[in-house]
Amino acid sequence: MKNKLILSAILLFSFIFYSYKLSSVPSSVYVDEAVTGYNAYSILKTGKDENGKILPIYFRYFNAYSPGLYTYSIIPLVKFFGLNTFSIRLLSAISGVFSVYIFYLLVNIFLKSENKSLIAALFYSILPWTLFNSRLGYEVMYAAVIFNTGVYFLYKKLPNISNIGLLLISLSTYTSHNQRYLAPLFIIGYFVIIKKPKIKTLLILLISQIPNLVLVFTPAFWVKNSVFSVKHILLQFITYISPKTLFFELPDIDQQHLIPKISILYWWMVIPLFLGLKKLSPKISKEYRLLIFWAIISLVPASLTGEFISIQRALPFLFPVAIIISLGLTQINKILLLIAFPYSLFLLIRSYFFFLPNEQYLAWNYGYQQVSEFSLSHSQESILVDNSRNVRNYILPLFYQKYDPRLYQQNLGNFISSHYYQAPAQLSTYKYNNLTFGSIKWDKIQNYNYIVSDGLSISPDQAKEHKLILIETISTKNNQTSQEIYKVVK
Amino acid sequence: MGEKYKIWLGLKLVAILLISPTSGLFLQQPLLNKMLLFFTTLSLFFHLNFKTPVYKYIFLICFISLTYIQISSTNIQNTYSFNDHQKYINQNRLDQYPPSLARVGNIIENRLDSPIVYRLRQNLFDSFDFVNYFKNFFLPIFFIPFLIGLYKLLKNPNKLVISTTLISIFILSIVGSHGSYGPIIIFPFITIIISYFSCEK
Repeated sequence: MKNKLILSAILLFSFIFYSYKLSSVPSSVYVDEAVTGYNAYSILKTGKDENGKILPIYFRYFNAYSPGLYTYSIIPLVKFFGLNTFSIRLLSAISGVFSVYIFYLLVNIFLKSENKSLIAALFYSILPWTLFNSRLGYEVMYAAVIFNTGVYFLYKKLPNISNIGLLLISLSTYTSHNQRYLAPLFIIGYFVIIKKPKIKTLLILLISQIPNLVLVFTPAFWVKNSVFSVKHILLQFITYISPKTLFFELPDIDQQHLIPKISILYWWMVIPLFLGLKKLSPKISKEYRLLIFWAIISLVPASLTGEFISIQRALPFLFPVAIIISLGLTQINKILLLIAFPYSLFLLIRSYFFFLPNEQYLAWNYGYQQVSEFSLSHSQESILVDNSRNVRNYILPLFYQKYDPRLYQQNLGNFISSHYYQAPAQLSTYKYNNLTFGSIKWDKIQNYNYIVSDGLSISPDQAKEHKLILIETISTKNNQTSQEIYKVVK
Repeated sequence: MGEKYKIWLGLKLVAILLISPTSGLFLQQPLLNKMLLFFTTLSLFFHLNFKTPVYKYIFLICFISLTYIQISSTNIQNTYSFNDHQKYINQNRLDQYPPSLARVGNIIENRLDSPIVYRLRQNLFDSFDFVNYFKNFFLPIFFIPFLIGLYKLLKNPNKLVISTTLISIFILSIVGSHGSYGPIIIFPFITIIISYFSCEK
């Protein structure tokens, strides 16, 4: 009873932690969040995505063809709370809380002690990696929690096979690219390490994969695949597994993935990691073998996809590495843990709730809400928004203005929807309402009344030469220019 | 696999790692460093496999010499100097504390988690920078035997290897890894851990 109360308190704490200031931290809506939210809104209003495709399995999303379960799952939230930052991030926050619960159940299988598992779950709940992904308005945490719940069911039913566990893992492939690569690898490894499947199990898996199998021969299924050398893949793997990456500094080139002054795990956790690895070694039971296998293959999707390091692709690694760290945590003096908890919590709150919203404005597409408001207040005048450095920015005013998806689909025509899974090339120019998103062509600027630039595309000399008057600068709190609005003198 | 064969395999691994021109480890070092690296690694390898005290003493002498080279080839002043941008970021972070917490902020940002403490942490994790080691000094393919070797070392810890590796990490944490010859002091241990892959049970 006492342990259940403590667990409830940890889950309540996690919910508060993951949902506190959910709309304002991070400071604005990122393009990946906006595209997810707007497509959920579009499905809700029209039954079609932004391109006019009826109930797609994969959403086109800037030619990424992301599995769509998260988008479908947030539709009730968008319906209930409206299309806003809170409604698109809420499901991730709930998934984060649920992941703490699943982590507790799973780590208990290894630690075989409720008290120790509660401590492990408490530390898991305040990992920077857990917090960060539990506050994103897209699919990564949701996908991870579905996959990890499946793994928990498999562990719970060992040495027998859990069809529910396998079905959940199979279902996770409709949530994220990561899981689409990871799930088949994990299931094959599970059958090899634990038990050979019966025909019935294979049939269930096959049936659950019919939607993926239907699309496997279309270009949309393979858009995230590139061919890299073995050396490249190995170096990617080494980068993800390096203690410097995990505990100190992310080599991720995308600033949106970073929390200032902190990595994805606390620096001191390098000690329990090594202690945990040591504890792993004498116990090569089937459970531990599966854990080691899980830890290794969870980095395969990240190592295989993409030229650059993207720490979000490595999120499946979170659970196995946190379990190994938990094995080490139990060997650390409780007084030290009592110091480590508030110290870590302080570091995280400082970095996430203070430094991140004040330093990462531009990485989080700050300024487009103001551009949207400007566009609405100048509805009779045409506005060109420069997209030469961010071709995906058209989605942000669509999101902020809650632009009628029917009108947008009509304006777009039916070429994309009729060739949807053939992955037609991404457009370079987008038009709706009084807005045009494209690169600046100096001989055509007289067609517009206003030009919005990111502060780098138009120099003072160019403005003077082309008779542009700077009428508004949208700046961040730390005085970085987000957008500049110029009036075109006719 | 017989014990003699394992030792022979481990020795071959050590030799390949040390002299392989493709690894980049040996090529970049002057002659004295090459010799020291060679003798440090081999003496430790022989000590681990034959338990003869003489190898231990040779190893310790070579290790102390490597330590001297590591420290003397690193400009410690550079390790702890901060450019204007770094100073600006630190000041900017200090300014983010509300006025009522300005004093607390000052204690945290300038003492408990000051740029120097941060730099020490950076140095510590630079010594765990597997990407640097396996991209610039060892072939990436050796990372797999390194992981297995590390796992075996944790399973059967050897006091001499663990203590001298920790001393190397401590020294690199203090002086930094950006000396003229790179983190040379750690290379023998990476080589030995890779050789654990074949030699230890």
